[in-house]
Amino acid sequence: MPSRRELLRRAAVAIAVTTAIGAGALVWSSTLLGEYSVMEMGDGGGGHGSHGMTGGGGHGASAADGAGGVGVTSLIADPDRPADVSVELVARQQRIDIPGGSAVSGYTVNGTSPGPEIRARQGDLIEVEFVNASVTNGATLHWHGIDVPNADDGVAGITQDAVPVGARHVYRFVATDAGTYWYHSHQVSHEQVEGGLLGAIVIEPAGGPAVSAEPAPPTGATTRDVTALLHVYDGQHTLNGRVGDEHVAATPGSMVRVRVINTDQGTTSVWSAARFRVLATDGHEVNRPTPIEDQRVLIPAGGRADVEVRAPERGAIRLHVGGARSILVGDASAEASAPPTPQPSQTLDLLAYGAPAPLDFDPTAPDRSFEYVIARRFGVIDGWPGNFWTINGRMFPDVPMFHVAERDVVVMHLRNDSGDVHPMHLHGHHVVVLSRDGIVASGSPWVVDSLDVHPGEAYDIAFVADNPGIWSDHCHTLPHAVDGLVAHVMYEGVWTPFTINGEAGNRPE
Amino acid sequence: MRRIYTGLAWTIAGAVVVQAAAIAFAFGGLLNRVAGGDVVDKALLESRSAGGVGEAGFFIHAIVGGAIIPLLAIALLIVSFFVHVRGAKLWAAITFGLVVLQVTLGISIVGVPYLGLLHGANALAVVAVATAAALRVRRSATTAARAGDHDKAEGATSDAVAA
Repeated sequence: MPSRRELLRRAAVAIAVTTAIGAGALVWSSTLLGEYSVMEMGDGGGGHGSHGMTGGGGHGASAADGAGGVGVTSLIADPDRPADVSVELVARQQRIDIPGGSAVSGYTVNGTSPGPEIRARQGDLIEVEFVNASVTNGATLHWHGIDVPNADDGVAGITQDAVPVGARHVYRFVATDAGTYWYHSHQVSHEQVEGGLLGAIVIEPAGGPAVSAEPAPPTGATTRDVTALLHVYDGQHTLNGRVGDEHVAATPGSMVRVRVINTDQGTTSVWSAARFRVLATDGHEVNRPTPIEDQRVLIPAGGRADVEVRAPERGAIRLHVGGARSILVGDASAEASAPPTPQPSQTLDLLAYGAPAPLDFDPTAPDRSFEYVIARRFGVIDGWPGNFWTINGRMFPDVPMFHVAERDVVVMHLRNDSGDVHPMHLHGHHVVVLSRDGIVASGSPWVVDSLDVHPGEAYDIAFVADNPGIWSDHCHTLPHAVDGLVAHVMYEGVWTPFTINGEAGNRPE
Repeated sequence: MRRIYTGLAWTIAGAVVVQAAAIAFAFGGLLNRVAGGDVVDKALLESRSAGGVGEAGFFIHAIVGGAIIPLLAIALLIVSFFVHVRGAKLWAAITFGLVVLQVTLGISIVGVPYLGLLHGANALAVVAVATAAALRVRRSATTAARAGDHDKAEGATSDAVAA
């Protein structure tokens, strides 16, 4: 028979254990997200206190009921304007044949992955009718890098509901900026993008020089223009959907523009033994780019770089695009003249590349100034314990909401206190890089929509709030976004009727 | 409780062996890919297929190291408070401390590769400490059991004498 003292001890232990389990269950259940709206996030709706915002005025009408505000669905292109380019894109969940490799299960657009490349002219109104033929989780299309109206941004649960099987959704936007972009699903994006629900979209400059995806005639030095979309399918590196290198026939001395699109989850690299120039980053032209040699160009996940090579007088040159693939430019039969070359260890610093040019806004006196500090710690999100990302020390969904008003000049201080690189992608806007680690940009305006922030680095970036809506500002290593590395820029008075995890099954990341 | 304590401690030591095996398997798969002409880059790493046939090794190493061993170490520490053996709490605390260090080192390796040297050495320390904890409590349990038998025997004798 246990003593009274022992009985008391056991009772105390039992009470302590029960209390601990109860408290644990309570804390755990408080992390469950359930159905939620981005309107409830940050200090606009949840009263989560200050998140590093300084300057600027009040937070405006960001009430979750949206009374009197502007709904995201009303932020559209001119509905009366007829389309200049009309495309139907049909998404399917199916086996994908990978030429040169082995078939994988994934997603196609119009029967292939990558889907068809859309080509349009600057100023065109593009209309895409998106059909979900068989993607069971639903799907959307996001126009990565194109500053579309908010209703057409394609983020499930924020700007639309995921398109269920058998339904369709029309996207309409004016291609204001020429450049290289891509489209991809923004519903369960870490799976659907990896699985191939994506494609290229190229906007050619209005009134620019004629370029051709076909070989130039033997005479003259007409520029050729080719796309190099990189994607890893189940461990297979592909270039434009094929496991293999490509040959671009070009007359000696002619210039070839290669539009490299990194659709993968990590940084990729471009280099060559021959000299080349970087003509554009993320769809924006570099001012007076100079030839580079013995340097590589790094492209963040989701980012693009247009590079220009000159076809040699004899034979071919090899442009390495990504670690595994390359493009041979010149005499297509002369592969032996361009053996692979090791990747240079030195990286082109885009902070000091090209010639300075005035910006069309003044970032020195911003209306809003935000911190976006990335770190990592253990915690629980939606009932799952893990080592999750934090933004300004807070874990999803308790992350900051960056409130702006239209026409604000916004400066954001990005800092990466974690041990992994993060390609930060802001929807609906392009940002200009002002400085890195205190070193002021000294080259061409470096304009990006996807910016790699390496461990320990700090960037100051700026943009003009000229596209009202609610815009994701997240890491494009998409599994990182699933693990909470996603915040939003919200314009005053804009609200969304869409929710995440609700009946529509919206799961944007 | 002693049996649970020793069971947990032996499991931690065994799990570290699984860790070593898993990571060797993973790097074998990775090098096998490279030998076959494949290129391992960030895109491949992030698509979780750099390990080729050994990819499961990376997965096992992450789950066992990031979740299972830390949970076992926490459980060992909790159980140690109910085990009345001298040093049980201390050895459980040392095991827990080394596991925390090990996870921290593992997470930081990408940024500071030199930490890999410590990560490998510390793994052996975890095995040693967890084994020491298990042996100490088991030995103590055996001694206690023997002492118990002895007491019983003595009791029987005195009973016999009394009888």
